[in-house]
Amino acid sequence: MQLLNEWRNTVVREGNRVYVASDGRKYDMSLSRTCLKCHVNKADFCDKCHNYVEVAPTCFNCHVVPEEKKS
Amino acid sequence: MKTDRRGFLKIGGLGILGFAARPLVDVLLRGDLVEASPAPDTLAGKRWAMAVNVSKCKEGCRDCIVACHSVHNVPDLGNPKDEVKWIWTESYKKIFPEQEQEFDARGGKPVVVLCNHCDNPPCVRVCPTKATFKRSDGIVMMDYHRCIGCRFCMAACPYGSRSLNWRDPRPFIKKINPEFPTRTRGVVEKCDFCVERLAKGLIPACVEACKEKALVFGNLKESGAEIREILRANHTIRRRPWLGTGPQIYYIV
Repeated sequence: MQLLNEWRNTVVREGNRVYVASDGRKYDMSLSRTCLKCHVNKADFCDKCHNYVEVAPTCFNCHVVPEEKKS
Repeated sequence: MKTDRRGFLKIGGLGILGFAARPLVDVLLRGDLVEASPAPDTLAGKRWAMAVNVSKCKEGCRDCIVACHSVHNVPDLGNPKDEVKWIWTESYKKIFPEQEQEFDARGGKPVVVLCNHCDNPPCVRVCPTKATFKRSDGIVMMDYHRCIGCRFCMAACPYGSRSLNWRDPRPFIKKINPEFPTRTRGVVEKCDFCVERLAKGLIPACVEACKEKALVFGNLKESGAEIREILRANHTIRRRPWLGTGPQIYYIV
């Protein structure tokens, strides 16, 4: 969540969309295009913990969940 | 050399004055230096603007509107009260008030209008959460995360470029583009000059969709840009320039 907040601020407010990781690899700072590309299942990646601690982040009120692959 | 009290104070005072004058001299000298202009590949090295050639615009054509609204997931709520719009048409005499005359054939002609991405945007000044801000490349942008839906910006904008989502827009979007977020209830939205496309090196969706080449988009800080040539060679007018907002959509009428 902290990383996502940081990404959001750099992308929206500074217009910088590329994240350089500590190993030098570059990532497009995007929730639906980067995070959820590997973590294909939102129910496992997001909801599991959010349900456990009973919080309801509003990310997906606007951001679109990419189509989940059946695993 | 004998120094009396009066002479000592004179010398001391002059000394102090000298120290006080030093920063002033520094500031004046620095003013003479030429500041390096920002590199063209940075945000500060750009100033995006658009020219609309109204005579090329075909009546009844909605290509730019359809393209923009489908790329940005703009809902069609089907009634003018709740309407959400990024780019739309308005009659000539309505958008150029005090510049129309009775016999002008263009009076009722619809003209494409969108956010003017003002140099001095009133919407930015009134936003209490800084959700609306101006980027250094001139784009007046919205951070939807921060918008609290107070609608100050809608009251401040003299061009009516902003719409509030009175209802949840998702059910009213025909086909959701997964590449772009939708908005939520209680958030204001407007044209963002396609920042997400500019970041990929593409031109705005409306400009790309226009078959008549009536819309020209470009960087005003680039000396050889097409838009610079158009603004140099043509007489252009802007919407209500006397308000001091410095609109950056130029119309060739």
